Amino acid sequence: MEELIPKTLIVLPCYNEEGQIAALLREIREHYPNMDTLVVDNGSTDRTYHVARALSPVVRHPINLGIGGAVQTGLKYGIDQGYKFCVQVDGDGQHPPLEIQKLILSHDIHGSNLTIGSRFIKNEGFQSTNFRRMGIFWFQHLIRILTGVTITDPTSGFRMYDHNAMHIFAQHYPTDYPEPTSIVIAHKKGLSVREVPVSMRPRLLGESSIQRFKILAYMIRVTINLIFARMRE
Amino acid sequence: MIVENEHFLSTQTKFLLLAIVLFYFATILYKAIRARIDIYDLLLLASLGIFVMAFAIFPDAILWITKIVGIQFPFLLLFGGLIFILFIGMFRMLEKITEMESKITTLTQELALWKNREHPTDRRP
Repeated sequence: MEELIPKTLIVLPCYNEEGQIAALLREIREHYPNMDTLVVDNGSTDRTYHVARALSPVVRHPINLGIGGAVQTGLKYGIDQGYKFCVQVDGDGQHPPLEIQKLILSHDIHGSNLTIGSRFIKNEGFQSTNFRRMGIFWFQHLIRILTGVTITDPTSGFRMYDHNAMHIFAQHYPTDYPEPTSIVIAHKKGLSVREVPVSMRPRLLGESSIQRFKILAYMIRVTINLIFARMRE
Repeated sequence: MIVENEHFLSTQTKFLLLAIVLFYFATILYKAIRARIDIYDLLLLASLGIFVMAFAIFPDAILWITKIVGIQFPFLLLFGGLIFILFIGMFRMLEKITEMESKITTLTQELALWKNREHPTDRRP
């Protein structure tokens, strides 16, 4: 299938994923030998850079810019190198590489600018914790109010950008709470957004940047951010 | 505070305030000439000194404003005015910080991409 797809880059934003990144890159290469990968080392303090560069090109940030900054770097690289599509796959191994083909198939059929892999359409695989699901459902309703679009998994970082989306987000990608905010921005910029059911894995190593007891504060901040994103030019 | 006749500032206090303000103006002007603060910040800081100087030179006018506004003590007007000017300065600094954060992000990304172009890391077999 990958032979039929124009030049596609798989972007893996990573922060301290030395234990996971090598296996993930090998798994991607096994399933998609003709696709290129780019690891964006987001200021890791461990050996992520050294482990990854044996298996993939790596762009290394001297400081951590957050997930939004890392994804934006990947998109800028993709445009620089002439890629037509970018697939964002988290470096923590939660996004099974085999599911990438579902994003590609969905784009083939529907031609959407932004294709998001959702855990909550078929409710397969790892469904996240109860606390987080509460937050996700809140954002789902808020985004529907703000944009009229229903996105069941607005915090999913498993997504595919076409050339138009790459250009827009390479210039303006939100650094704060990028996943849900980028959906509002996509809507404002006239990009089509579509979801496809995927199965995800639990994080194998490391810990999330959003801890349980900070989720309420996170929800309040993201809510304000989404409203401002809708109002901004 | 020594009250002489209807004035709430003594002559000594007025001279002391003026001396402090003039020293303050000289300091911030020196910093601005050495490009350690920009012109907008210079004007904002200078307005603090001008506010205090107005108290020293025109105490009767300040007393009059205090009576009109309904504040009990003239120095409350002084402190309120100073805090208001400081708030304006604080908002400006917050704006600058946000702008700098955005610039740092862009610079970091460009640096990382440039380094990758100059020294590609693709070592795949």
